Formats: sequence, C-alpha cells, structure tokens
Amino acid sequence: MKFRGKAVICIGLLAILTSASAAFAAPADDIKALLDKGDAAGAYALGKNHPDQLGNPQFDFYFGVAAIDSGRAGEGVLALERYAVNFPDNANARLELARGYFVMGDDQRAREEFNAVLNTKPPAAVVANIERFLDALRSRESTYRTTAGLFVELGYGYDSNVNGGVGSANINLPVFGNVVIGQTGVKTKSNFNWLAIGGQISHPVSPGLAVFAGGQIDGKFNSSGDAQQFDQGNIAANGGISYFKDKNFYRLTASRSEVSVDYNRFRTVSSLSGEWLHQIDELQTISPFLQTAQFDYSGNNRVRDAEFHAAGIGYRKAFIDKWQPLLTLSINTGKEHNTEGRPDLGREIYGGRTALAITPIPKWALSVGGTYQKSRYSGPDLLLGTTRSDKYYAADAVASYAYTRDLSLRAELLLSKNTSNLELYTYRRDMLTFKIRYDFR
Amino acid sequence: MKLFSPCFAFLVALGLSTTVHAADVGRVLLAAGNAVAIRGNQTVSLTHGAMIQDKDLLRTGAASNLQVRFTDESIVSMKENSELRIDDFRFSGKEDGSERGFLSLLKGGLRTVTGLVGRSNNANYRLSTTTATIGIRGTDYAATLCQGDCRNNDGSLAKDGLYGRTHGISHGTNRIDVSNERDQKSFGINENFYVADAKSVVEPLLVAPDFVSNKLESRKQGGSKGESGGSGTEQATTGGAASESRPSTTPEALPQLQFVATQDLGPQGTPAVLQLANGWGVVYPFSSFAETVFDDNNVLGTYNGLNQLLSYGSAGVSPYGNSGGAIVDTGGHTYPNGQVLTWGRWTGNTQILTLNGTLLTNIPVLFVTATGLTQNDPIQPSGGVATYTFVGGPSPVDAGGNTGTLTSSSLTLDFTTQSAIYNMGINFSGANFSVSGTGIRSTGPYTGDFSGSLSGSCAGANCASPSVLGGFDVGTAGPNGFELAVVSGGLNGTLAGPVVFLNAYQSSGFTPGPASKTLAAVVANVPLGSNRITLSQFNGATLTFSGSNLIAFNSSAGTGTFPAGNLNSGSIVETGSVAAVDGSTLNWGRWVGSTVTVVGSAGTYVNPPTGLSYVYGDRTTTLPTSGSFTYIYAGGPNPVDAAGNVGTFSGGSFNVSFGGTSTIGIATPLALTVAGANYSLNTLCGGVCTFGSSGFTGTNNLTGTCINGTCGGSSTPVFGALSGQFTGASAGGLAITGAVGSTNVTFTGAFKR
Repeated sequence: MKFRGKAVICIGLLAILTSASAAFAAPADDIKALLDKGDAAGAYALGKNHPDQLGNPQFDFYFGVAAIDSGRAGEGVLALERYAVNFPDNANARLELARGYFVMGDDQRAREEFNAVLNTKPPAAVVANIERFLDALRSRESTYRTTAGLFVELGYGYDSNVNGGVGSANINLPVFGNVVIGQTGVKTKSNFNWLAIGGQISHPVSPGLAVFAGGQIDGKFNSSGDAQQFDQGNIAANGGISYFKDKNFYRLTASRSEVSVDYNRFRTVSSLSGEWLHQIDELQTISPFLQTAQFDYSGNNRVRDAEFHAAGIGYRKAFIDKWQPLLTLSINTGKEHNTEGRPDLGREIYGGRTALAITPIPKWALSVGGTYQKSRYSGPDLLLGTTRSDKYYAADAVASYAYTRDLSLRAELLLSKNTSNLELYTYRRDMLTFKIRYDFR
Repeated sequence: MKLFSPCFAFLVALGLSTTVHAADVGRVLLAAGNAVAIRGNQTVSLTHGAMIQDKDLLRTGAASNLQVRFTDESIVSMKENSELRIDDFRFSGKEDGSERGFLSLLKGGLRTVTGLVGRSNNANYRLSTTTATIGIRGTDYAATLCQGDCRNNDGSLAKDGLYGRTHGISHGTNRIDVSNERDQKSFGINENFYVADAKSVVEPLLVAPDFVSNKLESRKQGGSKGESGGSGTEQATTGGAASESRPSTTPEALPQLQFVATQDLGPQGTPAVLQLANGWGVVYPFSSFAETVFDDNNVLGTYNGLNQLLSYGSAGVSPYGNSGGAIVDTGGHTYPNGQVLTWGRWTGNTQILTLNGTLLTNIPVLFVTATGLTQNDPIQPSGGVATYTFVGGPSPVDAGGNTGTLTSSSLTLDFTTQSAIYNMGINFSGANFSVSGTGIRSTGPYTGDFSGSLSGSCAGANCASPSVLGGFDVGTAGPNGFELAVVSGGLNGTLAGPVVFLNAYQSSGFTPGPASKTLAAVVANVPLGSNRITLSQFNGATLTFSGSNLIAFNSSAGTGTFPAGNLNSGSIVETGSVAAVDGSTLNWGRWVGSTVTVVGSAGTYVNPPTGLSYVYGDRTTTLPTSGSFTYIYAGGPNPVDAAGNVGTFSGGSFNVSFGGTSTIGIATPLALTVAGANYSLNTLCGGVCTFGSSGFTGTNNLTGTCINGTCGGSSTPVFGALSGQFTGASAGGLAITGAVGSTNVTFTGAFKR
C-alpha cells in the first residue's frame, strides 16, 4: 500500500508535470500567435512571464523576435543568439538576429549576419529587404566613418499650374471689384522635364561629432511655350555639424538656396537650423527644432525681403508589421517678418504634416502624406485694404521601385490647393512626376 | 524527504526544475563548447539549465559561448576564452538595498543586459577588470579585456586594455560609468570606450573594434540543447529599414515658397499680374473748345477695380478732377502687348480745376486710363509713318451733356516729320461735324506727344457755326512708343457748347522712313532784349525743308511762338553737309535777306544783321553710355558779328567722355576770324562741362583770347557762351552754337567723331 501510495503520489506529480509539460510547450506557440497578430508587446510580456522557458530554442526564437519588435533588442539578440548557436544554418534566425543587431546598433555584426544570409541566395524579397537594411547601415556609418554619395535624377511630368496662377483671369477683389488679371497670373499647364544632381559628405571628427556638407542643383523645364517663362532652377548647399550622444542627436545646419525663374534669380534663402532628435525607443523619435532664415528677393520683389523664424516638433514611429509602416507627424509655427516696411507681405504661419510610408511588396515603397499650412498676414494689403489670410492644403503620394540597389524609379503625385480670402492668391496645383534616379554610393 | 527524492530526480531529468538553492544565483541558458564553473576546488561542467552559484568562476574555452541568466533577470553572455568571477551576487527578489552584483572580468569579453540589481542603486553593481571598473545605470553593454589576445580585422594585435560599448535600450538611464585610478567617464547608447590600464584615462572611441562584438564562436559546435525552433518565415521579412527611427533630413519648416505668379510684384510693389491703370487722360469742354490733361506717370490718378478713373490730383491744386457722380459710357480695349485702355464719361456733379486754375463743375468729362505705362516712354521710331485703326472710346459729348457718335476717323503719325494728321466725323442730333487738321510734336507736363488744330464744317441746325475750329492732342504708348494712341480734343460745337471727344486707336501699320531731323544749332543776333539770341535745343521743333535746306522752324507750341524762324523769300548761303560715323548727316546754312524773320523771347524781328545760321541733323535716339571721343570741326556757316561782318571758322575740336556723368571739354581751341579779329576759344565751363542722358545743352561759359582787329594788337581775354547738341542715332555728330566778344560774334559749327 505504501508503495502504491508512493506510486500514486508520483503519478500524481507526473500528472501535474504532464500538465505542466503541455503548458510548457504553449508559451512559444502563444508568443508566435501574438506575433502573427502583430502584438509584439503582448508576446514579449507573455515571454517574460515564462523565464523558465529561456534556453528552449523554440521559445528563444519567438521570444527573441518579440523582444526586438517591442523595443528590447538586447534581450532579443541574446535569445536569438542562443537559437543560432543551436541551429546555425537557420537563415530565418540569422535574419532576425541581423535585424536585432541592427536595431541594437551593432552595425558590424548586423552587416555580417545580413551578408551571411545573402550568401545563402534567399528569395528576391528577402534580398530586397536586406539591401534596405544595408543601405540604412551605410547611412548610419556616417557617425563613425567618412561617407559620401552622389546622385543623378531625371524626370518627366505634368504640372497643372506651373505658375500657381488663378483659375480664371476674371476675379473679384476688395476695393477694386471685378478685375482682369494679366495672362501671366492665370494658371498655365505644361509637361515638364526634371533634372537634379546632388551629393553629400559626412565626416566624423570625434566620437559623436561629425561635420557634413551637401549640395543640389535641380531644374524644372516646362515644355509648352507659354510655360517656359516659368522654368525654375534651384541651387542649394548646406553644411553643419552633428553631435550624437546617448539617445539624443543634435544637428546644426547652415544652408543657402537660390531659386531662379526663367533663368533669373528670384529668391535666395539663407537659413540656420538647429534640431534635437531624441530617440524614445528603437521605434520612436521626437525631434524639436528651431530655424531662422533670411529671404532675399530680386528686382521688383525686393520689397518681399524678410526674416523668418520658426519652431516645430516632429515625431516618427515605426511599426513592426510586414508592411513596415513608418508614421511621421510634425507641427510647426513661424513668423515671416518683412524687412522692407511692408507688413502686408509678412505673416505668421502655422502648419503641420503627417505621412505614412509602407513597403507592401519587396522592392516597392509607398508613402502618402498630407500638409496643412495657415498663413495670417501681418497687415492689410497695400492695394486691397484687406489683411490676407491663406490656407494651404496638399496631399502627396510617392511610389518607388528599386530596380537595383542604385537604380530606382519613382512616381510622385502632389495635389495642392491654396485658398485665400483674396481671390488673387487662390489656386490649385496638381503635379505628377516620374523620375529615375541613380545613386553613386 | 526520501519519499520525494526519486520524484525530484525525475523532474531534474526532465530538465524542468525551477528549484534554486540558497547559493544559486543564476541558471545557464546556453552552454556551447567548453564552459565550466570553478566552484571552490571543483570544476563543474556547465550545460543548459545548470545552476550558477555565488563565488563561481565561469570560464569558456575556445569556440565556446556561455549565457547565464541571474536571478535579478540580468543575462550575461560570455565570449570564447573568457573568465568571469562572481564576486558577490545577492538578490532577494526585490530591490531592498541588500542586492549586489559584483563581478570581475578576468579574461576575454562579455555582453550583458543588466537586470534589477543596480537599476535603482547603481553602486550595487559593478564589473571589475584589471584596468577599470564598469558601473551601470541600467543598460546593455559589452566589454572585452584584451591581454595580448585580441586581434583586429586585419589580423594585427590590438592594444591591451579594456574595450567596451554601450548598446541599445534596456532599463534605467542607459548609461555606464567607466572608472579607474585616474579617470571616470560616462557613456551612453552606442558610445564606445577604451582604457589602456588602471592609470590611463578613459578614452572615448569613434567606433568599437570588431572583437568587442559577440561572434558566436561556438555556432559550429552546436549548443547545449537541440530542439527545433520556429520556422519564422514571415518574421524573416518583417521589420524593414523603416525601423530606423532616426530621421536623416534637415527639418523643413520654411513656408511654401514656390514661385506663385500672382505674388510676383511689379515696380510699385503690388502684384504685377494686376493690370492696374497707371496713367490717365481727360478732356472736358473749356474755353473755346476743350482742355486735355494727360498724366502718364500715374502721379495723380485714383481708380476703381475696373481701372476707371475716379479722380486725379488734389482738391484745390491744379490740375484736379473728381468724378462726383456716375461713370457712364464705359469700355476698354486690350492691346496685343497686354496693355489695357479703359474709358468712360463722368456725369453729374463733376469738379474740375483746369490747368490755369479755373474751377468747373457739373460738366461732362471724358476719361481714359492705361495700364503698363512706363515712367519714361519707350523711344519712338526715329522716322517712319504709323497708321492707326479706331478701337473705341466714349461717345463724344457737348457741354450740355448731349452725346454724339463718331462716324469716321483716321490718324497718321509721321515720325520723320514729327507730325500728326487727323480727321474725324461726328454726328450729333442736328449737328454733323467733319474736321481735319495736323499736329506737331508737343512736350511739357500734362500734354500728349502731338498736338494740333482742327478745322472743318458742321451741318445742321444744332451747329454753333457752320465753320468749325478745334484742337486735338495725341498721346501714345506701347512697346515701341507708338502702338497705342489716344486722340482727345474739342470743337466749337453745338448750340449747347463745345464738343469734346476721346478716341482710342491701335497701330495698324508702320512704314519705315528717314530719321527725323533736329535743329541742333541755330543762332541769330538781333536787337532784342540782350541783343543776342542763341538757341540750340529744338528737339520739339517742327522743321520745314526745301530739299536739304531748312526754310522754317516752329516750336512745338505753334506758329509765331518762341523759338521760331522763317526764311520767307530770303536766300540761304554757306550751305554744306557732312556724314557722321553713325551714318547720320549734318546740314548747315545761313539765312540772309530782308524777309527773314526770327521769333525770340521779346517778339519777332525781321532781317537780323547776322542772318540766321543753323545746323540740323538726325535726331539722336540714345546717347552712348561709355567711351571717349574727339569731335572735330567738320564745317558750318561762317561766323558773323553784330555789324554783319562775315568771318571764317577755321577749326577746333572737343573731347567728349560718355558715362554715368558725361563730360565735354575743348580739345583744340576753336579758331574764328571776324573783321580781322582772331579768336582762340580754348576753355569751356572752366575746364569741362558735365551733362546727363538728355545731352549737352544749355548755355555754358566759354573763354579764350582775341587779338587784332577790334581786339587790338595784344592778346585780350574774351568771354562768351556755347551750347551744343548731339545728332545721329548714336551721337555721331555734334552741333554747336555760340556767341563771344564785345562785337557779339555768333557762330555755329558741325563736328563729327
């Protein structure tokens, strides 16, 4: 009896352990299930409740992925390393491990693991994804290695309103009533060619501190005769210093750009901006900034010369999903102070932008965005006696396809509208552009 | 106890034990290759699930890895050939101040995600090495102690010392403190450091050496436990580069700054696309006919949104006008170049202050406004004939406010002769007018470009007179200065009073022709006023020629007005001409005879004793803006003194420098001989005279010497005056006129480059 009793107890314990064993297998499956649902944080929390499972390869794999996706890359990498030691030939594990290294900031190990996966000749989708990581690694190298790049971009597109003109020559204005405006102020549509050449270089000078410089020349050349007087060119250069410390990235940028219209200088903008990017976690960044600029117009437009001061804040969040969504939000405010004694040409500006970028198919990237800007002018219009107030709305979408790592195709759509209490400044402008770009890395 | 021992052993065999001895501080998660714990005198081989105890010395061999999870949830991952000693590890399950995490890295390297120990009480955690100690504020870091056993990627031996790097986010403030006997520094995420030895400074590194990373050297050997992991196919493609949440672009807070044509400003700082009127003209019944006032500089006008004129001038200051009442009979015309004319008629309580200050009220006023006028009119053709087509205008109106109809009209502007030809038919009820006339160039404020008189007839019972007189003004504009034309004027009208009209025209054709001539120099000596008339500025004069000989000239103000002259039945002597370098021609001569008349400021004089000398040439359209030239005497009529003695002009030259401030001076003295007196005129304006874009005009001081004849036998200073005018399209010629000496020697001369 005693023996039996003992056996019963043992069997009883075994029953409990059998039950525990069944539960033992469950956490990994449950974590996987939560990951499949996109609930990385839930998966990680579940895993944390089962420390006894650490070291179990299946558990380690899913827990590692969950940890990385929920902002615990350090733990995730350790878990995946355990798995990878046991299953060194599992390309999926190595890919996840590489991603973990990338998120954690171990660029060297990330590159090694990504390249190791590439050597296994994975599917094209995986290759495309890895190349994007490698590009991101390359750009991140600027914090500790001199990096430089050049690009050439050619494009062709359609612009429904190359001059931002009003829809009809007959408009109604305060004081004047019905007014016929000149042909140059009426919207002019045209196809156009686009050319842009640019480059940038970054050189680290001490841990965290780097200097950088860049420049771009671009031109938009309208096809139709009436629109050629609105051909536009832009020459821009910038340079500055950046400093990276902990979760904070600081950048001071001086820039100068000159816009020409019909091959005559129209406006030069000299600006100085300072930004602070604070990394909340591996997936989120918040970035306040300050900016001051000088607008220097030419010819009759010199009375528009102004000083501009702005402040704003941006927020970016990456989501862990197979489409890799990236959400960007920003708000800003600024004051354009006319320096020529023309308050009617100065204004206060309030604006915001939101954008979402996704990668629905390997090699393809899509983004959509919306911009809003309100301008409240500082004095009554010289002629019209009314203080101008504008609202600018824009929706944009971009689809890009990476034919190779260096050669990409891009389609850009911009739908914009400016409304104003003065009909003279109300216009709608839509633009569709196809571009091909080659990067020399 | 005994009863349960087999069961416990059974559980351990299942690898599922969670039981922890009092001295156990951790559990092995991974043991690959050769991993052992030195526990007292014992060497314990470590496998997955094995327990780690306080004071253990953990050691990995070649191609080996070891991961240990401590009871505070921290995990340490040891690289190959490493030794880590657990000096003091205590954790009761909560942070009560008694927790400790004192470790010593004796050899090799590790990476750790720290746990609860040290999170709140930083001092309770440290990793000691022979060169420095690492304290934490909660983070994930890696450290490697090199003792002749670290190699760089190129195979070279790395310097001995402690290398480290702080990784991504774990707990707390994500920093580590590295200190030794000499230094102490703090490092945040993604920062790297190196410490050579215990007495060296802690150096930040731009990038950590590769050997700091965990290479998973044991991967080829397999781990301590073999169970298949997940396939993870879908995860393998998740988390793209978008996961990089650090923006790489400069913030773009600048407002929308694309070029917007409607915001492009014009010269007046207002939107250039607004076709706002910037010039106007009015005509209203006044005196015998009408008064026309033009303002193409937009000095005085105010307009409504339709570019209709609302008022001009300031009340009480001439000229002034206020519409007062309704604006009727409106219209407009857009010209091919985009300029717009807008017209209409003021009715009702109008108020007008005429040019001579007469106040008029309640009279009809016709107006026109124009866009795109420039302050300085474009240069009109130097020659040629423009014809025009009527494009509109307000109905003609008489002083009583009755409107008529323009039945016909034609306008021709001759830029060679600087004249206008105009004819017109107007019907009023009971009064049909037919008039024609010619005009000449007019200048001055509020005038048009041409003005003239009209004459004709009126038929009907409403005519004030069957014989009609009137006047007209022509204002022009356009890209070449003539494409737009407005003709305004008045007739001695209907029984209700003068009739006024305002008609707009567009050029319908242009026939090139010879350049118009300008009377560049003319001089006569007459016993009027100061006994001398010296005239040189005649751009506005109407010239009459017989062949190449000038036979009459009238000022723009009309016949009989200063300055003017007429050869009448006299003769012309000493004629000549010379071609200038710009292709223009200078012509000269001298009128003599008893019928020659000269109109001066004091009246008309007949038969001046000097005759009348003249030089004319092609009108100068633009002066050079740079360059220096010498103008050499090329001919001219003979100089004559007040007694009628005729002498000779034997030469001289001028130096002229064109530029922002142009100058002229005498290069070679002007040499004249009259009645035996020899004049040498060598100084102008005391040296050089300056002149602007309008040319060298006006009276300028002239000095020199004279000898012999009336001057006596010794050289005597003489004083006089000199004026000049450039001729030819690009100032190839220069005509001068002057007078000098007590005998009033007057002279003209033609010079060329």
